[in-house]
Amino acid sequence: MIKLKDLTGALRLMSLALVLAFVISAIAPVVLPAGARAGEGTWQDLVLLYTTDIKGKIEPCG
Amino acid sequence: MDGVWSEERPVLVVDGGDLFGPRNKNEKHQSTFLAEMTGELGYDAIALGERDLNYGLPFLLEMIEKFDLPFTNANVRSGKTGELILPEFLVVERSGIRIGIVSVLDPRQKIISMAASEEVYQVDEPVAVLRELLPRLREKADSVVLLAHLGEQATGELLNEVKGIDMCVIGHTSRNINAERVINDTAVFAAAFEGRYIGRANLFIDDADGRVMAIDVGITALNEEVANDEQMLARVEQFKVDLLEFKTAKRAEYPRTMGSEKETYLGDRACMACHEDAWKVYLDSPHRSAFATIRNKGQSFEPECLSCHTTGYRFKNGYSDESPYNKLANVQCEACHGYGSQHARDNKWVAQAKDSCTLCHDQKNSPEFDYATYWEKIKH
Repeated sequence: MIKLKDLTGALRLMSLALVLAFVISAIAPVVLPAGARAGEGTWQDLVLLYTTDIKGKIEPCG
Repeated sequence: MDGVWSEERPVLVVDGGDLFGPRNKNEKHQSTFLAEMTGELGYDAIALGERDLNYGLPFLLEMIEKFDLPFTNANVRSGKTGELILPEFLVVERSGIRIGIVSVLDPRQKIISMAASEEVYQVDEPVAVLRELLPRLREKADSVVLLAHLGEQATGELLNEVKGIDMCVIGHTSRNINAERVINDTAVFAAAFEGRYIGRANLFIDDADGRVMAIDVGITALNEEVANDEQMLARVEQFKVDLLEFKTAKRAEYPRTMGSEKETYLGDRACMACHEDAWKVYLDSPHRSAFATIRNKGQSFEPECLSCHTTGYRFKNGYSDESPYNKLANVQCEACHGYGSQHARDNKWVAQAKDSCTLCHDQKNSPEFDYATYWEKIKH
């Protein structure tokens, strides 16, 4: 197992950054690249409900 | 859906197209009921799928008018006039955000209508259509939703070529997208199919530029674990009773009253054993593809068609769509010659085959019928 103290200063910094990035991504809410270009406004809540290809079924088979 | 409405959050409800069923009268009847129910569910936009023209454009427009269905499409035009057949796009407002909704259909999909009049459509290339349309739409809308009736792969290809779409719901697909997915800055969703699933995405939209900031996707299977809406369920059950009556009434026009319960049709392969030469003529004749002809037109459950495109439909022990009687599809030997069981017993032809022709080749179905000419086609 590689220990932090065995690494050089630069490598140690990179490893810490990676660990930190991993922890943050695990606890942060899902924020998508689609929103990466956020404007100055506030966020509005919207629920999108969607279906497709119902193909005349009034109830599924089976 | 009731649960979502009760949360009192802004909701946008869309469908990716292919609402209507297969091309036959029973299904048309069912699709009419479905259109009524869909109208009551309060959709904001419905994409045009190729199936939605199965019963012809006049029928679709009638359903739109009657049940207030918000169909939209930007790339299907009348072949006669060159005009779009539906509204090019829709704009709805939620929490002060103007949401533009546009839909495109895959030009590779065949549009086949069972309407009496021949309908021809021109389906424009979606990428070119959207590149021209989106700048105009974005003047009227802060955020844009594409309903892509293209299937998953073609939708991905399109999104990589077109900018300016914030959300995309995929139609013409049989796969759910169960997690957050983004293609070229567009949040992509799919919940398939035949009413088995409904997708829900909780979105946060930047009200400055309409872009999707965050999403949380969930797909719900509409199975027995989801409680039925009692009122809707009662109407569906009543409709099923009505549909059975509708089917029974149609069948009643072609009653199975002829022939004898004691006799059976043996099927064309039984005839082959002793009449191989005649059977070979039958193999190459239009009679052998009679069922395929109506099946390809979505008419394989229509009594008025089945009576002349199968063997013994109006006779006891004749064609039915249930085994073993479904082997009597097509106009087989016994359609003209009568029950094989009787022939096998006494070696006599049950029916005068020559007299059988005009039962189907009548003025309505075969106005140019001439026995001598037609006999040459099946001479055996």
